[in-house]
Amino acid sequence: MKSLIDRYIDRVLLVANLPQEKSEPIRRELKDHLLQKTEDLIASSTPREEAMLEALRQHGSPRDIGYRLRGPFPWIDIRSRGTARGVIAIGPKAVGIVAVGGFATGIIAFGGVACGLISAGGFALGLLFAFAGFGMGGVAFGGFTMGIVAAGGYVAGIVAVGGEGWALWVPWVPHGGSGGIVSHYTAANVPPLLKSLAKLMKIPETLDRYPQIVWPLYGLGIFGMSWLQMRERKRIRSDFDWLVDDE
Amino acid sequence: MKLTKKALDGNMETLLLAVLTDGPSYGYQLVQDLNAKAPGLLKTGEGTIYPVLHRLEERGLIQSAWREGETGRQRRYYRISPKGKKALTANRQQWAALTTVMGAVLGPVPATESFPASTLPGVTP
Repeated sequence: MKSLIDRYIDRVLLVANLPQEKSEPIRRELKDHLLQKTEDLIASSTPREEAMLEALRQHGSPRDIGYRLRGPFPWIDIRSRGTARGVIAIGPKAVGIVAVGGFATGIIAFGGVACGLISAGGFALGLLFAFAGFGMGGVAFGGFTMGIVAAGGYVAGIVAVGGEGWALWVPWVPHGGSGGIVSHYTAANVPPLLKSLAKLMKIPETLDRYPQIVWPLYGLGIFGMSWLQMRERKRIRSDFDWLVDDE
Repeated sequence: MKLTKKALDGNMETLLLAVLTDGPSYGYQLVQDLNAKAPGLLKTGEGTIYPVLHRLEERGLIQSAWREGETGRQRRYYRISPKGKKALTANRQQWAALTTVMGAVLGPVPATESFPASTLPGVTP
């Protein structure tokens, strides 16, 4: 039967999810620490049965230590709690090149609140592109959007196309739009630069296809993120009969 | 006044490098030394020093070797490397500059706002 210390370390390493050659020295090191701590507590008159538990308690949450042992920026970091950091990061909060999460920050960010060069999500802030319910970005598509080029339901921007649009130039009103627009320029006097910007919208076909393209992607992303996080949670729970975990 | 995790996060590496200048040591002993200097610093997070130690080793600031400890168990000893000494010197200078700037702007901290190290609550790095 495994000792309490071994079970604790198993749990740390389960969360850390490291290859065998890396995890084995960590196991030996943590075990030495915990045995020494236990011996010292016993020597300072802590009852034997209490000493081991106290050593584990003072050592800290296995999940916290395990996550920290993953290293600063792995290729893939999936977490069910805290902030995932990695080239591909998936977690409740995520920071990475590709970040997916409740709050996601990255070059490509996807999530409830997403912030990055290219962002998609409920609320998205994208330096280049933002696809969102509420979006702000260089080029923004969504329900409510603001951007240099903005398209969607309610939009505001330099060039904007939407059901309701406020912009320097609103080049057209898409199908179904109420036509509630405020446009400084008309087609007759619009400057060439704004005309070029409007081409980014690939008028009008892309705009019409926008919901069919973006919403399935959004749905798939949400599903994928939830599935990966559930899988991680399940993996960590699989070994669960740990005593002092904080889940 | 509680010392927050955020306040400690960037400084744990410097603290460990500083303790290792006293000579080679192992994880448990490093925790004891840190707690002796700042009681309560690692009250409930002793294990969190290991990720920091491993990170320091990956960056070449410390080196480790396994050898038999006094108990007969194999033990991983860490020692600061020349690169680590340089980094510590740089960090000390940065810290001195920061405290000078903060002190100049904030002024002296009133007695009611300061706290001795011995009253630090269970802070984890």
